[in-house]
Amino acid sequence: MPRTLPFLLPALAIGLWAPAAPAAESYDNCTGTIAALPAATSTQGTWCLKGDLGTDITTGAAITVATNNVTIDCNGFKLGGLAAGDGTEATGIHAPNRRNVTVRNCNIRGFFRGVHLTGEAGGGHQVEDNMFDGNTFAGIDVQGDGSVVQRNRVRDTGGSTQTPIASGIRVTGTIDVLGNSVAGVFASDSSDAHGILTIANAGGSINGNRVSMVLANPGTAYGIYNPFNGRMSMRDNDLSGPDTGIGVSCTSDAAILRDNTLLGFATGNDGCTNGGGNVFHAP
Amino acid sequence: MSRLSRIPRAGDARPRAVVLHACLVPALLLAHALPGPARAAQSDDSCTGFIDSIPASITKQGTWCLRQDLSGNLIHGEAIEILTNNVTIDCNHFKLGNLAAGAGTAAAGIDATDRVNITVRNCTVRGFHKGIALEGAGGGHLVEDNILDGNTSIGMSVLNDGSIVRRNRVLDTGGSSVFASVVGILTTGSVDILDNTVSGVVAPAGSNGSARGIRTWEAYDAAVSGNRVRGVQADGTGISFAVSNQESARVVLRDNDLSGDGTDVGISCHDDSGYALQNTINGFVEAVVGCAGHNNVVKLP
Repeated sequence: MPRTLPFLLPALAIGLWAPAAPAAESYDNCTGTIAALPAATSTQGTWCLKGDLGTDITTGAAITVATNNVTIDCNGFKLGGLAAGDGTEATGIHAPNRRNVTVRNCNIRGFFRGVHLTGEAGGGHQVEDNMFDGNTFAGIDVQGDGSVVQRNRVRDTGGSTQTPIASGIRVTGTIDVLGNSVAGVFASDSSDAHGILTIANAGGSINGNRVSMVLANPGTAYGIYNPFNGRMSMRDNDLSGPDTGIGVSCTSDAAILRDNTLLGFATGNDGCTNGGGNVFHAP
Repeated sequence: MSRLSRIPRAGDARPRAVVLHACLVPALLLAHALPGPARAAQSDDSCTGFIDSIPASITKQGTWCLRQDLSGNLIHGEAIEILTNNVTIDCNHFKLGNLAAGAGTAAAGIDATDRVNITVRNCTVRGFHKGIALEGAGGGHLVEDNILDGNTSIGMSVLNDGSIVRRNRVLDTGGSSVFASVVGILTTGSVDILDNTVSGVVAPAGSNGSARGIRTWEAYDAAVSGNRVRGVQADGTGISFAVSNQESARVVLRDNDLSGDGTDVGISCHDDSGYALQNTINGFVEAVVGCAGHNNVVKLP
């Protein structure tokens, strides 16, 4: 192998340089580029990152979405806020009372909230295919019916000095949460930690998610917590607990829990209707 | 800037660059020094042409793209009319809007009649009587990854065998001042309906209109699987269905999450050759009507 490597290098370099075969992604459809922080978008369309961006702001938002029908496509680049420290109150991407906001392909780190799409007047949002790492209160915080949070990775959430509570994914309203991976949510000072927190979810689906390493001691660690829920559905989730806490909790038995794996929680199901097919394994 | 330069944190995995063989570094440096392929949102490389204004007609086969939001005020007709076969409309996540036309619109967003092999993807279609209408003879259509939001009677209507409707979100359908009944997704013929979200299908107040989240007509051997349907509300004497199969046979309905709040019917089939299995049917007066069933989870209101 070492003998052939020198001959391979030019070919490898050329291969890396040559334009890739036409594929799904390019900058062709970017309405504009976000090149510095903080930034605000007030024109509808797709706003792109073309490089890593960082900021040490401790309040406000790195990117504010100030109109409807906006896509933020980070193209895999980083939106970093770690320099602000654990006391930050800043948000990575914030859209107040907007409709049809999409955030995709972002790597968002070190904010109080990674993404915050908020307000009862909004909805129809889409948060997909992002990485959230080291955000101190919530990786994702989305409000508004008709929204979907899907295929995100959320890791190492918690550690805020502003609040002891931590949630990997937090949604308010009738929202689908599908195919996400939440690993590492840490509460402090006797508060609770939630892998996925849904508030007032009247009929959404929480399906196909993987939640692990949710820690709250002596607070309660929840795999999925559903306060004020309606007729929602939870199926095919794999939840791994810390030998304490609650796998899935509902305040109303209108929610149906079926075909989930709940391992290592002191209580597997707290208050949801057991629709069958669930695997519970207590510590 | 390369992602190799990101700030490390405690607990980070070891940066991938560190474990690369040293011999690869020159190649990587060379690659980063030269202009690399752009990567982001969505490429125009495959676009036959662009739709830059509406109404527009497509008469040439190929992929026709949007590169900006387009909005109109159409009471009749179509924003985009497809007049030949084998056409893809790729909106690149841009909006095709008609909210300005109001509740009286009878216009369609994207329309093809008597065509085959039409694809519609990555569109946000708002405020039409029908968001997408692929109707008449033909078939083999593909409607995927769209958002249909605030269309007044029908989110999408897709006709004929071999078509697929998948991964769409159909939100807040209803509100027409012209048409009483509302449907989120309407198909005719053997059309597979997979992994869609239908949220909010509401018949107009005072209309006595029926409401259906998903309605299949004359579907034989089709699949309706993995969909999420909720917020379906009829008005007055109208009837509400999450999923309604009429004049259909051998339809498989699997793994759908259906949420009602006193909605009339969860799933209805023309006869028991339709098979409902592993669905979650929550909050309907009648969970399953006419279908054979297995392993459904039912919770009555």
